[in-house]
Amino acid sequence: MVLVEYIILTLNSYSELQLETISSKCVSPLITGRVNFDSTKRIIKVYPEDLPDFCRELTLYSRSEISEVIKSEEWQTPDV
Amino acid sequence: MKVNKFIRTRRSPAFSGGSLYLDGVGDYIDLQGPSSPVFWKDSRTRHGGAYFFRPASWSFWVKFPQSTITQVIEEIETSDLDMTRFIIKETSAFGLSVNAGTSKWTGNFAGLVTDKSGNVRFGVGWGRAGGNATTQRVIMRGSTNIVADTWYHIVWSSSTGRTADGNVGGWSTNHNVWINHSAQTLDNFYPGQGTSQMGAIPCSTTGYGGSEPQFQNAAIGRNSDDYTEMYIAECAFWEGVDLDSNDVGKLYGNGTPLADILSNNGNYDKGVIEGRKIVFNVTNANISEGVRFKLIDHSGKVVEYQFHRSYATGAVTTFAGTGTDVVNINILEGNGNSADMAEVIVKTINMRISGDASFGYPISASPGFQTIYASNEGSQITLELGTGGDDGLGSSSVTNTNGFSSGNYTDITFNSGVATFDTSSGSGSGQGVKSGLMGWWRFKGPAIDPNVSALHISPKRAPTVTGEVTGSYIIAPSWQALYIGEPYGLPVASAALNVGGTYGPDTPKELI
Repeated sequence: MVLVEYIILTLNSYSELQLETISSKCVSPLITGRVNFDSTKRIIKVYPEDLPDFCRELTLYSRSEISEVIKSEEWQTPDV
Repeated sequence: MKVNKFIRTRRSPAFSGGSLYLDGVGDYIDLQGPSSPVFWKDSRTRHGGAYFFRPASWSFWVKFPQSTITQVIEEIETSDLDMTRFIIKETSAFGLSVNAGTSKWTGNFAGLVTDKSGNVRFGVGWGRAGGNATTQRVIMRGSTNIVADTWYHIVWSSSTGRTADGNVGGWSTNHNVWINHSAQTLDNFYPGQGTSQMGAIPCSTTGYGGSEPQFQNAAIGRNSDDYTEMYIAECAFWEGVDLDSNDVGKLYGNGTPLADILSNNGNYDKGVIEGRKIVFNVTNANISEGVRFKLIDHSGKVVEYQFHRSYATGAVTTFAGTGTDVVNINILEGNGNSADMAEVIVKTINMRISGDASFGYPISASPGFQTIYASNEGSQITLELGTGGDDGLGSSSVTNTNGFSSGNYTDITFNSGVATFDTSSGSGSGQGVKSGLMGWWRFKGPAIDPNVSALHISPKRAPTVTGEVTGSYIIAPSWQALYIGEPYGLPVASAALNVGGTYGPDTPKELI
């Protein structure tokens, strides 16, 4: 069983190259991650052991933990 | 003795492939409604004046983890929320919404509710724009308890399809649901905060025919910010078809999904639906100045066509001899090539852009969906004849009689050598000409890239006429053409996009 966890990426905190690196290590591509209300953050599914070093300080969330996170207003996108 | 042996869940079926896991956080399947030839504007309802739902059917296998079951019970029975966990949402599931801020219930949808006694049930519904109140939607729930970690085969079929919403019986009376081939008794579902549902609302004015196009941003596993954690496999959609118990039994296969649903097999006869049609080859037809032919749709509407060198294709002129309006087909656009000429003819017959009658006449103007449909393969043209009209059952026909022979022109000769009418197979199984299996998403694994799921597209036509091409795409008329760039060319086969989901083995394992 392969452990999958979630991270929350603030996109502006990373270079394009770094984002590409993260995307290549994710369970699914970066572009498929859920976005927050202003599209500045994405929730990404990752294999923790594959995360690049520059992401090591990010909080890892289990699925149940991230489920609580997305209940907040920040993760409710406007119905445009 | 182990007590658990009496309450264990049914063993997962032996899928030949795998399934797709959606995590309930951000995963979903984008069915690409507006750009996919799978879904048409007329898939569910006839737009612009008629009052019936056209038959349509979904079939899929789903499994839910305990977290989803617990979540549904908490949301509905503790928090008094309405349906929040959607399996399929045909309209406005994400992104661009045609009804800003009010699209929770637009279109047809399926999801999970409860019986208000702690049991989760499958539910189907239809709603309209305007808010999140229960009066904006109808939801009917099934009678089988849905439990965790168990695969279910679910079929949702809109029965008869001809009954008007709000006029005859209402939306809630026209649907059948089977779970593992067990016909469901459908009951109204009301959440805690309301005990009323949408009443008699004609779908033509408040549904798809109004400001809510169907299959706009259709999705599996998502409706706006509400995502559903689940596994899904072998999802299919039929248009113009209501599956019956015999079909469902074969699809279910006592737990082993039917491997090939593109072909008829035993009691399953919705893989290939043959209707009446006429096939002719342009090279055998008399296409010259003044030659005319006519088509008659289900409502008796006659559309006459005329080959001409001076008028633009699609231009409507009045024939001086009889005062009859005719739609012109410019011979010169064929460039002397029979295949090009066939394409121009097909385009002229089919084309209808957003109701703009300046380019040809829609064959089925109103009411009823398109019942005459033209396609071509090279110089060979096929005119398919379906049913439609106010009740969805009116017949259409193509004629090459001498009804116009009093003028100075000649009727086009359909039956010159290769043209025959095929009336041997049934025309009552579907309605309209685009009836049959339209989409089959197996979710067995990526087909093109990790984000794209395998997609099969019907129509698959049996070669009942020598030389007819089997399995070719039908040329897309109507609004779909607006999205594929080539208004009368072959449609692009848009796949279902897997947005974040994880493909799994035969019996998917929870990854976390």
